[in-house]
Formats: sequence, structure tokens, C-alpha cells
Amino acid sequence: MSHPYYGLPDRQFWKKEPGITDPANLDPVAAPPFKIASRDRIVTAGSCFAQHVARYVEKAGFNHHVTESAHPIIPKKLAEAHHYGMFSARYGNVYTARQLRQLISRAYGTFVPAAQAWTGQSGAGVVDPFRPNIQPGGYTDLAELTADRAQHLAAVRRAFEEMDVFIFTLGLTEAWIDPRDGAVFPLAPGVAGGTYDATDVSFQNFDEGEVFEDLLASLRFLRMRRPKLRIVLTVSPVPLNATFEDRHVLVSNTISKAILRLAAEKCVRSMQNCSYFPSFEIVTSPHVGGRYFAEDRREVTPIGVDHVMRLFLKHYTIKTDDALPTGDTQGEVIRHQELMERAVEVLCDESAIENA
Amino acid sequence: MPRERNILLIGHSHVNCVQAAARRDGNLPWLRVINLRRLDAETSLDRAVQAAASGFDPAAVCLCLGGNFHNVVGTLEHPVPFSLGTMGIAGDPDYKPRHMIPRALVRALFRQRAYPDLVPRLYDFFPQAERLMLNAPPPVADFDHIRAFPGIHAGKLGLGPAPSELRLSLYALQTEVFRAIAEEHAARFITQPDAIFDSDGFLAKPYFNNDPTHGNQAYGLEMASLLQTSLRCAA
Repeated sequence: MSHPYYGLPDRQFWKKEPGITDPANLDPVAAPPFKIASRDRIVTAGSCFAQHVARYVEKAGFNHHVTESAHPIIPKKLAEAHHYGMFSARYGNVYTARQLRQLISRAYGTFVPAAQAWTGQSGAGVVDPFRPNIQPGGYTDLAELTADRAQHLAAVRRAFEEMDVFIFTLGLTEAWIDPRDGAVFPLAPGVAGGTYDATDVSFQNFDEGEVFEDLLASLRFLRMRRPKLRIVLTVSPVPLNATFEDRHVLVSNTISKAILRLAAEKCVRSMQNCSYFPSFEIVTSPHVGGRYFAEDRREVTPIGVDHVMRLFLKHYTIKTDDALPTGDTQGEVIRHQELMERAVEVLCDESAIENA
Repeated sequence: MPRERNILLIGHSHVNCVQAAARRDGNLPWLRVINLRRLDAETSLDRAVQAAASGFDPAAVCLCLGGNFHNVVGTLEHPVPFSLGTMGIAGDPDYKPRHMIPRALVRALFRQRAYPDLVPRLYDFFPQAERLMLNAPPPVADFDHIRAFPGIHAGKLGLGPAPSELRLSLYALQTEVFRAIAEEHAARFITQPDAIFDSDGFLAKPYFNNDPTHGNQAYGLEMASLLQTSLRCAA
């Protein structure tokens, strides 16, 4: 007897998913329309889950394209503590599609927000309202923040102009907005700098139409700059930390993730070489029975991240034998830095005290 | 020697000049200097410091740890020229864009290099003693001197000197970090007298050692005198 489902692949049938009997075998990833090779320049952005993506692709030997590195005098661990290398540029978490759209506009100089600086959390110095956690200890003053921001936005521009692959993890629909010009802040003022005053900032929960429009406009702009750009969209499986809507955070979480998932789906259907990677589905699926969430039922455990990234690397990447060469200039800088490290020891021993 | 005048100076290379001055002068029995780099590497720090201080009951312990990192990163121009915060080196006619490093990041870097874990350990060896911390000397501006005594910089002199403003800014920031660490440990922070600076804020020529970064014996004598005065002031 024939019916429309007859002969369809196993992946389209719930009961045929191998993950039912062994969660580690869960694999809901469809064949992507492209592969990512070792040398392809990958730019990542998005909510906190996007940090895992960046870290894993780098660890797996792929080319996480970082255009805003710490100066070579800064040791790696210290640079990481100051959020260098976490993403391609030091933009921090980009939670909403509107934030991405405005980041692009700010980088290309078509949007200059009215908000320039917030007071630092300790009351001293200032922080960047658009990445308030990026600089531990804050900036000395507005001038220093402005100079660092100019350097940062140039690096953002360079990342977008040079990338081959853009991986964006959608995180939130709720945002805090400057009513003067619509600038979106990643965190409400008062959380990590600035002062909360209900008249200075307004709450907005973007609907599916707004998220889709912002995301599509962003991706189209980036595609215009890089016509061969390959795009991967994901939805963060990390639930909302808090909601400003007057309802339970779990209920807000569901609608938020549904909106983000819809927007991603519509973009994939609207653009060529734009793929959806189901990290949200892998972590939240019944197959894994909640085991990929930590004790707080929110953070994704390392084993959950491993599962997600194992499937990403399996389906999206192809290891090629063309590692990036280290340029002469870079080699010289490394050699200089090594010499300077040795100098710490040597300089301290070379005082012979002779010419008094 | 009455205990109330005794000062134990513990540090790295910047204490060598004080030690040399004490040896040359022969009239500074109230001062004992321990260069941590010259302690027996096979002995634990606790035992080595106690051995080096044996028979000496200090009224004050003065630390002068590290202090050369501003020179390590700032004596020569870096292959990737950098600026510190909004340091106004754009006034230089040959100005080229520099990699701007936020001051908070450089502050964190200096703190890492200021032996923050060693400071309380050393003070705690002498719980009855007053706590002092001596700042490191300012940088040497004279590139002819650095060229003549390049030390570790030999072979790299072609990079040329880093801008003076950068060098002074790095030294000022390092000083700020040392001062903060001193305050955290209830130590009195001792800065150099005006006499050892030139008119631009660098180390004055009479105090150059035959290397690119340290003070000489005359500088050491100034520091010994400064320590004595500091203790007197405290009393």
C-alpha cells in the first residue's frame, strides 16, 4: 500500500532515530549545502553558546579568523581574560538580531549611537554600553574608550570583509533600547555598568517579523560584501537567564527560542548557501533526557557541547592539508616576544655595578 | 646596632646597586640586602630568606621586587608599535598608527609581573617589622648609553628607542600598580627623590649603570639614604 511517507529517509521518522537507544548517536543534522575547509576564514558571533563554536573550530585546526588580537606583549591567558580571541573581534556576546544589524552599521559608520559611555561598575572610569563586560577594569575615560572602539570597529569591518564563513548563534529576543535612537544594548544599564533609570531605556521583546527582518538585512549586507559567503545559523540551547516579561522565565524562553528558530528557518529558505545547524535541538532533545544541562538546568555541560560540536565538525567541515603559513612579519614578532620574555630574567641579572 | 634602625631590603636586580653601595660605604650596618636571584636555588625560599637574614632583626622590611618590566616592553620600539591608552604620541611628525592597548590591560599585565603572591609571603616572614616597598628606578632616556651598554637588547637596536612618552607612561603605570599592591599589604610605598630624575622624568645621567636599565652605586647610595630617612620619618 502506498502513502506519502513511503520510502522517505530514516531521518524523517522519529522511531528510526538511533539516538533513542543511544543518546550519543543522536544526529539530526541534514547535509549542508557546503563544506568548510581548513583554510576558510571563519567568523563567529552570537550569544554565549557561540563562544563554544569559536573555541572548537579553532581547537579542531580550522581557521577561526581573529582580526582583533591582543598586542603581542600580552600573554595569551591575560588576553583571553580580556576577551581577545573569544570571537573574531572583541564585540562580546551579540544576543539579538538587532544587535548584529547595529554592529554592522556601527562598523561601517552608518549608525553612530547617542550613548557613548556608561560609568564603570565601581564608579570609576567608563565602560562601553555596547560591550559593557569586554574590558575588565573598564576604560580610563571616554577618550580611551573612543580610541579602543575605533580600533575595534575597524577590526569588525576587517573580519566581515575577509571572511569566507559566518556562523551566527541567535540567543535572545528581549533587549534594552535607547529611546533616543533605538540603539540596542546587550545588557540593561545597571547590570554591568551604567545606571538604570526607567526613563532612559526602554524594554523591547522582538517578534518573529522583527527578528527575521533584522537577521535577513544583516546577512544580505554581509553577502553583498562577500558574495561567496557561506552562512551557518544556530539557535543557542542555553535558556533565558531572566525575562522582563511578566510571566515565568520558562514560558518566555519557549516563545523566544521559537521566534529565533523561525527567523533562522526563514533566512535559510530566503538565501543561498545559508544553512541551519540544530545545536538547540541536540541539547534539548528528549533523547538526551536533559543530561546536557548542568545542575542549574541552564548551562550546557561539556559533554553536551562535545556532542554538538562533534556533529558540526562531522557534517560541515573537511580537513584539508593546507594549514595557514606563518608570515615573516608574524615570525619576527614572535621571535621578538620570546627574546623579551627572556629579557625579564636577563635584565635582572646584568647589573654589574661598575661605573659609580 | 639597635634594632629600631635596621632595614632589610629584599628584591631582585634593583637591589644590587644598594648592596654594592653598602659594601663600598662600609658604614651602613643598619642595612641588609637580599637579592632573591642570588639565593641558593636548591633551598626553599623560606629557609633561604631566613638564612640570609640570620642575626639581623629588622625594624622594617622593604621589598623591591621585579620592576624592570616597563623596560622589557618599552625600551626599544616594538615590531608592532603600541600606545598606552590615548597617549598623545600623535604629535610626533613621523606618527604612524599604533596598536592601542587599554590601560586596564597593561595594568593587569604589570600586576602579573609584580610578584603579587610573593609580596605577602616575604612580609609574613617578619611579622613584627614595618612594611615598606621601594619603587623601581625610572627608565634611561639616553639611547647612546643604551647603544653602548645594550645588554639583552644587543642585536635589536635597529628597532630604535620607543617614544619617550610611551616609556614614561609605562613607568608611571607600573608605579601605580606597585603603589596599589603596597596599599593592599599595608606597606608604605617609597618613591624616588627628585634628585635622581632628569628634567623629563627619566633617570638622571649620574645614576646610569653600565647596562640599559639599572641604577649604579651612586643611585644605590641615594636609595639607602632614602630608606633611612623613610624609617626616621615613620618613627
